Formats: sequence, structure tokens, C-alpha cells
Amino acid sequence: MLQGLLDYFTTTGFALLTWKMLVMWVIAGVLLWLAIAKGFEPLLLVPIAFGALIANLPTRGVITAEMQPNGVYESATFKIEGQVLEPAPGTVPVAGEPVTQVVKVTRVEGGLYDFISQGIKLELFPPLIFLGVGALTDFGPLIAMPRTLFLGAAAQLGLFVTFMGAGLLGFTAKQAASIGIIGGADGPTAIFLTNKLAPELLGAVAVAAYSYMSLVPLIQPPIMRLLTTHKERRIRMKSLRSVSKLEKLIFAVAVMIICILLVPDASALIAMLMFGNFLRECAVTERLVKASQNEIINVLTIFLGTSVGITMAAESFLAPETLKIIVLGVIAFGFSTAGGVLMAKVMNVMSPNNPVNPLIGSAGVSAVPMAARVSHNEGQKYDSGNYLLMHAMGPNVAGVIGTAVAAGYFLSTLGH
Amino acid sequence: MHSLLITLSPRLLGALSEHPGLSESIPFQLTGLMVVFTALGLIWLVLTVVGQFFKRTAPAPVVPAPAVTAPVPVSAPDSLPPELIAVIAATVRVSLEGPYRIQAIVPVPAGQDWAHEGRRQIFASHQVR
Repeated sequence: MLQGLLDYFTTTGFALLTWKMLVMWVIAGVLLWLAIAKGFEPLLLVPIAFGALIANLPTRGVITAEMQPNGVYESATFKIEGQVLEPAPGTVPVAGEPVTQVVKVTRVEGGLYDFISQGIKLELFPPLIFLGVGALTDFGPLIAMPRTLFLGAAAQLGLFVTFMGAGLLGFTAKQAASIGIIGGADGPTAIFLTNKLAPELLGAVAVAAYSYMSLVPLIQPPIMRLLTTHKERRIRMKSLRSVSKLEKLIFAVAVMIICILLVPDASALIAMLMFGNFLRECAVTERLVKASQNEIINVLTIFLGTSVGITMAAESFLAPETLKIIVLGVIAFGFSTAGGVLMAKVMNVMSPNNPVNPLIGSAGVSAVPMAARVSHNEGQKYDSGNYLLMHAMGPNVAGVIGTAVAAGYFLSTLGH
Repeated sequence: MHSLLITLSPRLLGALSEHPGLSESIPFQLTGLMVVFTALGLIWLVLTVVGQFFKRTAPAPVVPAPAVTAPVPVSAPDSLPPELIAVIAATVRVSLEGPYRIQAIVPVPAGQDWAHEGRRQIFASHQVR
């Protein structure tokens, strides 16, 4: 009887626990604490942390994952059993040409997240989240003050600087690009790019990106203060003009065409972003807009967050590379912030009669709308009557476009 | 065209080595930044042109006729009617849900309505990422 009990024990999960799993429980606990107690990006950190917890339990029927001989930790694979029907009905084999065969699938076997995670592997979730982001975003401030586009462009500096830094630390070019994109502060884009270029880093990159996005109010202000004078922080900008509905519709179509023509690899992201925005601005698809803004983005956020978290298995996450990614991520963020602020100062030199407050430059990183709020709050510290929020939304949404374009550049140069 | 691109820029189109040195990665980064600036610069150009068109065709703002009566001085808090103060206090109590003390009621300077409305919209919007 005792032997039977011992034999049964070997079938339980206790026998499969490792110390690395326990360390990951602590990391998941810290992420949950940041999200729940501190309110840092709870909509994403809670699913990611919970997914990480699941990934580090000896589960069955949730996800299939194993370390490959080449050192790549492969997850979310499922088995398909089938019968090859040969020759395929209605086809005549021709010498020298590939033979078409029909496979009759008899059984598909896999865990819950083997299937749900296909949303990331097949690049479905990030573009669909962008649909919701587009439906939630008002590009009016950007259209009213288009020169803030250059702030959004300059705030991509961190991506490219970090690319070089990651290369110096031994990462491959594809991995370096995936790490650099953290500086864009755009979670879906970071996941989109990393999944294509360096899927082995997906968990670490996603956690770093979302953690730093939630820490924008702590990371950015010191850099903003360092690079601006007291006088510059008090600059009041001219009120924005109102933007017509037709202008907003033209904007959505024009941005989509220009970006896709320049960087076709960013098509999925840009097309969905602008489609969502077009739905919003055309004002005749209210039900679709509401679905995009709520149900679609909420459901996908749950699946995306948990799918990312579930890649954080101890075997792949507890590696020196993760620590390097965390450090490189904050460097990317810092340079992106500095790039936006410095570009604003350059614009003021070139156009002294219509200056921009350099504090809005930092909003060029695309953590929407948190980065814009940080610019606004910093400005209010030095002039309580200075409302920078709407001005900062211009570079903020420009940053979303800029990061997607940068991701498209990395994909087109490294992804083929 | 394809071969021309490769000739012009061997580091593009997948030709960048797996571990690029500084001499490779710096031009790669500069090219990337230029691509981003070009894309957003083109959007800026389109927006500027379209914006100029809409500014010209927009109807002129309606200028209200000057008031015939004598100018009314800006209301100081002590000159506000008590009903208005009660309404403001009740709004603060209901919308902020806490014990707050109103220390001043100041008229909003003209020309900031747009910024205020934008601020309200942003703070009320979803926190999606």
C-alpha cells in the first residue's frame, strides 16, 4: 500500500517541481504586485504574470514546450495525425512536377495554449489589437499640428542605438532588433517583431516592454529635466485648431498608403491601425467601433497577455540574456525619450516664432496616453496654467506610427 | 530594380551579417532612422498640404456682435450667486466622491477650451496598453 502511494506520488506535479520554477513564482508574484498594488499596466501585467505562473507549474493539457537540441526553447506546438490519400482525387501526376497530395486529418492533439498561442505565432493578435488601438485613438492633435510627427520620428532613436548596444553584448542582429524595439514603448509592435525575428526572446522582450511602459512616469522625467531649461519647460504653445471629419478620414487613408508603400512589412500593423481609426472617424459604424474599442481588444488582450506569460518558462527565462535585455530596454527607453526632447529643441531653433515645449518631445515614445500625461504633468509643475496634454498627444500617436515603421524596416532588412 | 537595390545597399535585404560590427551596424541604424523620418516626413507633407486646403475652405468664424450693454466685470468668487456656488460644490462632491474643500472659483481664461476638452477625453479614455 505504501509502495502504491509512493508510485502515485511520482505521477503528481510535486515530483516535477524544480527550484527554477519557484524562482519564477517569485517573479510572477512581483509582476502581480506591481500590477495590483501599484497599478502599473494592470490590464497586461496581470495576464502576463498569471501566464508566467501557469508556465512554471507542472501542467498537463495547457501547453507543449521543450528545449530543442539547438538551445531554442520551443513552445505551443501541437500534433496532427492524418492519412495521406495518394494520389489525390482528380489529379494526374506529371513527371518533374510536385505531386499534390490530400491529407485527411484524423486527430489534432495539443493543450489549450498550444492553440491560443497560435494567435501570436501566426501574427494575429498584435494587428487585431492595433485595430482596437486605432478605434480608440484621436489623431486630431497630430493633424492640427503635423510637425509633431518629427518628434515621434526622433523618439525612435533609442531603437537604433540599442540595436548597436545589443550587438556589442553578443546578440545577433535579429535579436538586437527585437530588443531595440522595446524603446518604441509599443507592446503589440514589440511582440509582432520579436515573434518574427527572435521568438526565443519573446517572453523577456514583452515583459521588459510592458514593465518599462508602466514605469514611464519614473523613467522619463529625470531625462526631460536634464535636457531642458526652466524657461523651456514653461513654454506655452498655441491652441490647436479644430480638425474636420474629412481631414481625419483623409489622414487615415494617406498614412496607410504612405507607410505600406515605404515599409510593406509593417502592412498588417499599419492597415489595422488605420482601419480601426477610419471606423471611428467615419461615424457610421458605431457598433463596429464599440466592438473594436471594447470586446475585440479586451478579449485579445487576455489571450495576448497570457500567451506571452506562458512563454516565460524557467528554462528559457532564467538566463543571462534576460538580464541583458532588461538593461538594454531601459537604455532604449532613455535614448528614445532624449531623442524626442532634443528634436523639439532643434525645432525651436529653426522656428523660434512658434516654439514647441520640449517636454512634449518625450511623448514621442508611443506609450499612449501615459507618455503624454507625463509631459503634461511635468509642464504643470513649472506652470500650473500650461495645458500640454493635447499638444503631447500629437507626438504620442506619431510615435505609434514611427515604431510600426521602424519595425517594418527591421523586418524588411532582417526578416527575409 | 531589385538588383539595383542590392548594389546600392548591400546591408539591406537580408545582407547584414548575423553579428554585424560597428562599420556595418552604424550605416544600418542611420538608414533605419532615415526611413522613419522619410515616412513621417511624407505624412507631414500630406497633412500640411491638406491642412492648408481645409484652412482656406473652412467657413470664417462667426464674430459675435459687440454687446450694447456696459461690460460686465469678471465675477469674483464673493460676487457669484449662492445658487451657482451650491451647484459647483454639489458637482465636486458627487464627481470626486470625497471630502473636498473649494478654495477658489476662478473663471477659465479664454482660448483654453480645446485643451480642457482634450484633457477630459484623454483622462476618460481607456488605458489599453
